[in-house]
Amino acid sequence: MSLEATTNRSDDEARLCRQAGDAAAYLLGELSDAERQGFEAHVAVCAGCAGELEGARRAIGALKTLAPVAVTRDFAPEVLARLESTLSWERRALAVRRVLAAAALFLLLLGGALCFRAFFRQGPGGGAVAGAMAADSPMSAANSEALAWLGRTQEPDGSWTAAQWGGDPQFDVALTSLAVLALLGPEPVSPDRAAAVRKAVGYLVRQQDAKGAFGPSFSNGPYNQGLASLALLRAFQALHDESLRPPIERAVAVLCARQTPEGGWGYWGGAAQEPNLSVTLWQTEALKLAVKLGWNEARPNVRRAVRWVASVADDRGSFGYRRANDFPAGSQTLAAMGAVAVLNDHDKSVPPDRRELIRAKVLESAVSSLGAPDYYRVYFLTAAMKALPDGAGASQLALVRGHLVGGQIALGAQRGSWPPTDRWGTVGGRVYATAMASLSLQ
Amino acid sequence: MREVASGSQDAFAALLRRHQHALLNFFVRMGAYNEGEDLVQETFLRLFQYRKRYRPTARFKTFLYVLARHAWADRNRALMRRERLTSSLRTDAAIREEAPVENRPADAYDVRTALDRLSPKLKEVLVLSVYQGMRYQEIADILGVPLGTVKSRVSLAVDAMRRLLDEPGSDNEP
Repeated sequence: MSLEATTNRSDDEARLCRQAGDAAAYLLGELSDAERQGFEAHVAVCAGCAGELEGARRAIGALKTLAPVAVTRDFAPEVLARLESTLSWERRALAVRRVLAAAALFLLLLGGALCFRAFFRQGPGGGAVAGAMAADSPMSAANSEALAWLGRTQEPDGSWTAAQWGGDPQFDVALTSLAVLALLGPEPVSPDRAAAVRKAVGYLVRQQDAKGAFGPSFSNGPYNQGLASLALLRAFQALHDESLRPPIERAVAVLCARQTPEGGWGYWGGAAQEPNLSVTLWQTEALKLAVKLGWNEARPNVRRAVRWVASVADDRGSFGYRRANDFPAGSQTLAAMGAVAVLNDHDKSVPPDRRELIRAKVLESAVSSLGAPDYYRVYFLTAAMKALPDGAGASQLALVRGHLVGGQIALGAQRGSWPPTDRWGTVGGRVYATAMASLSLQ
Repeated sequence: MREVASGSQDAFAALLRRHQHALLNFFVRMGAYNEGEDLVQETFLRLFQYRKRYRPTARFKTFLYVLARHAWADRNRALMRRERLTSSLRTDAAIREEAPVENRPADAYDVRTALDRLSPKLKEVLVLSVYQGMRYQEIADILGVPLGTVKSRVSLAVDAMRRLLDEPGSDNEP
């Protein structure tokens, strides 16, 4: 029987035959020996099925002409990197459960202590202290691991580099400064940490030019400037190193000179010089500490800065980035940043009712901050919570920190660090992630 | 897979390297021309996430492709949501600008285009059997359907392909 003869038969005619549906299975080797022999015998006498078989053969043949797609790279490293982050989140969930369990135990103990006290009319109980310690201990252990990681990864010249740990090399000064701030956190500063800080401070001073500016001159320079100034001031405060006075004076002079007439700070150069909250915060925090440590000439600058920060808040306690309401849907990071500046302002240049709104906004942000990692936001959030009066928000703070601890790498060479998986991870890398997380736990 | 289930990242990397090529081809043949690599990674992340649900009684490949299908379905759902949103925002002018892109030249109508015109159910069985070289029983296990259903779907899919490839004048369709 010729192919021409079979293909001239209509499809409908072929489909009337029960075995026409076996053509594809036959070609794909899905028929048993008996079925295959039966099908072949049938096709020899059924023109419709022979046509179906030929059509199926052409279709499958055409399908097989598509060449396989080559794998151009090994996916394993990328998947393993993403996996690290996933595992971190699994641990985070575990840590949150542990913190909640600790909180529940604390409440139980507190309840018991209060009952005991009410019953026996004894003096004030120590339950709160015990509870706080129970909740704090995983935090301090996590922070110790973080500081150990920072200690292990410092370069011989005292820096921490983006080239080694991911991020943008233009921010090496800022990254080293963040590491210094983290290492100086827990008091008293151990000799090991003090030595690491001295080396890092030496590196920072070497990056300062004659006028007082740190690092490369580029639009994002204010991050290097604000953070390096803050790091030198903290080192001066903690280590009582008088040799740091001259570089600090030069750094403070640059901060004051770069303040805009509005009172904030913006990026260096171009239209972006218009002040924004993120840049302003670091410069303001540095100047606040400078004033505290005796550089009183910066006090008016701090007042103007806080007033500018307050000017970008709206009536609901939300902060804008460059002006009030320029983030209509609100931003938790901005809310926390604004709160840090306003609530830590001892001159209290913002009216009490506005401060109350800002406090409420911080607590509201805490509840919804337990999603994907954002070390920058969590840093400002925890800093703002610490500024709340009378321990308000203590349970929210424990929850946020517990969530953070769960993301810490627990095993391997990077033990103690945090994966740079947030939106700034490509800029700051692992040093940024770890230092910010460490600071958030302190 | 037992080592992967116990958390070994080395074993996981070895498993990934063994299957990444086949999996990439699965997604590309299903139509993920630009996102195939992302979907491979997503599938393996899911594999690690669900590693403890794997039972040694099941074939590993079946388990892997069940996860791959879920990743593919999730991608399509997300795409549909995005397209609904985009189409609701798109202006007439934008549609006019995009139209020429969709008009393929006649000689571009090829096997891949024909494959893309099959319904998802038919395309899926064809990709798994012809390109992934899977037996009908494996496909039935992955899809969770009876063996006979796979057989009839493959038959329908091959028939539809034949018609599409034979169809005169169809090559100007998007």
